Amino acid sequence: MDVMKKLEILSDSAKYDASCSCSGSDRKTPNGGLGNGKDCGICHSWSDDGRCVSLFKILFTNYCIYDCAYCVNRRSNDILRASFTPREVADLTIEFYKRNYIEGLFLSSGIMKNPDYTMEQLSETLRILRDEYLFGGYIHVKAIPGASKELIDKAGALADRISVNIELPSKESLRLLTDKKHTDIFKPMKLITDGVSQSVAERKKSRFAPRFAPAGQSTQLIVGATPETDMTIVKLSEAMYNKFALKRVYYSAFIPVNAGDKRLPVLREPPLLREHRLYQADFLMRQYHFNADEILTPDKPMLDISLDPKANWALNNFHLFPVEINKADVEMLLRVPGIGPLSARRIVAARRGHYLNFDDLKKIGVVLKRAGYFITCKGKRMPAFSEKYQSVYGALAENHDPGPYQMKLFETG
Amino acid sequence: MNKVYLFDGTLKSYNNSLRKLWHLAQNGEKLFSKGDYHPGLFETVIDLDYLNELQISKKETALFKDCCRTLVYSFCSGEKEAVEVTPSFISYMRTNGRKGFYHLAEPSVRIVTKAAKRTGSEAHKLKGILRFRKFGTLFYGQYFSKTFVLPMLGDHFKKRMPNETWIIHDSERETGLYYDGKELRQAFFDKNELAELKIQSEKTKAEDEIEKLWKKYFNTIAIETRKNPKLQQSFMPRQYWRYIVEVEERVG
Repeated sequence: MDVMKKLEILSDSAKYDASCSCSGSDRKTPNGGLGNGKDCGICHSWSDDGRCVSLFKILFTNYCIYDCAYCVNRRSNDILRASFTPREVADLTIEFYKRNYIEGLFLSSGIMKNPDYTMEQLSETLRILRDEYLFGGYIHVKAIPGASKELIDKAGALADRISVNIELPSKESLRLLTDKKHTDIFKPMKLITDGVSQSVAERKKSRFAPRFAPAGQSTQLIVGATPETDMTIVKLSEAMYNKFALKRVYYSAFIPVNAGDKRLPVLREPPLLREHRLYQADFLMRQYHFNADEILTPDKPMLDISLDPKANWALNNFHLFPVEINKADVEMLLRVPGIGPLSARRIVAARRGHYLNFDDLKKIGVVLKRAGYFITCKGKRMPAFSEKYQSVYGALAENHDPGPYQMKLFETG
Repeated sequence: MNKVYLFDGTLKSYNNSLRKLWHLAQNGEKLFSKGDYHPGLFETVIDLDYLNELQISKKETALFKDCCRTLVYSFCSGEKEAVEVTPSFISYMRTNGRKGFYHLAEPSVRIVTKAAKRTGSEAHKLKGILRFRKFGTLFYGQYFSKTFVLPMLGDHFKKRMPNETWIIHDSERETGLYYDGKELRQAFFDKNELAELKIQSEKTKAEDEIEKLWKKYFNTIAIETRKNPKLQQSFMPRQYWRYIVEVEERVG
């Protein structure tokens, strides 16, 4: 099979991996080598679905010994199978990188023979890139659950980010939809966390100590394939952020790739909006200092689809508002819908100079469309912005109802 | 009498004039490029090109460097208003120090930082969407940009590909950079030379093969059920497409 065909098969299988971040590593170009890491990350292209392409995202192989219900590459699917050699992946990466198509490599894999063998192949690819081609660009590699500690350590020392996918939000769901593969997903996650913290500690003593996955680890889970509530998912993410110091949790709306499997729900379309709301909730935890308990409560365990979680929190705590822009602390400013970390920082810096009014806020780039309902400047509310709960809710809620439409003559359901 | 400063309109001359303005500039004074200036009745005109450079004190060097960077970025955006308020900006920053960058209610700070941000974000975007084509051992990358981002791209690729030979070509301004594995040089392009390069490119099969591989990859990585061209174009506006390998064929 030629490289073109392999590339087609294996990129097609890799596209459901959500992560494409290439930030957090400032690796220098090796002497006589090629490529460096950029701390802020750089997106190189955007595919037709609007997702950025910054890494060359590819599966090493789509052969797999497991049979997970949600996976397009499961053993029982009758699809074309292919497998790269480490050299092929390394060559492709270098050629693409030199033409500035990509920022680095994202290497994942189905599991062939056994986890250790697969992990060895991935490590070998990384070794060729780093040691033979002196490649300094970003590399994100998947740790294969069940692979030995030594192999994961080896990959972690060469990669910028190493990650394991948790795939589903609860153990029951995992047991139901997968075979042995995911029995203990937290074990490799723990290994990586230990590796990172050990390397950080050693580098404090000597700057020549080897790095271990300088851009940290992330994970991904599928939303909508199993009956878990948003509350479960958000709590799980929070726990992983705290316990394993994850950089990101990615949520992927369930896309029915294996139609006809009775263990999976039948959906008209993927729950993209729910995925979006979960990402918003996730950002609240990572950048806005929210707790999972503040975002969702047991009596209302699902996120409001028509309202973003921050606005939802503000409306549930309506008695805390309005907030005086010139006096409120940063934590409170961050909780105003429509004011993000950047705006909050700008407000705090600008109000040192003089008392701010609404015009000043506009000038420094604070968007008042939503924030207007929740703030005062010099004790005054923004003109024409209501202070009644009902009308604020009406103004903030997004209408996602497609509305009335002409039915087709032979349409059912 | 209002004071007006003049410089000759090039980036180099602007850069030099900042060092002189640092000591001279007062709030309300204006800077113009010689080509854009129409003399007013009650104005004193000072041509900065004829002044000697002045030393910046050690204490102010760091602040001066920060201001310079922002001002050069704002100059590269091509915004004339940003050039005009340069003296006001400098005088404001000298009195307020680094925290002045956040005082966006001050008009000169707002205008300059906004223009600088335009250049900065376009430079960042182009670091991603610039595409190289290989001719022999030379990598040739042509791009379109609204602001002048060539210097930033040069620095970036010098760090990233220090052992390759490459050319970056700004197609709007017909200027570019040439790097031979050692040093970076400004280059002006002859249309005939470019045509020659393009003919060569049609001959190299290996290059074609790699572009085909990339296009294949780009098309398969998109998830059909999540198609969203509007989102795609908001990140990657169509005006850049004609030099981006994977989408160049989609532009008419």
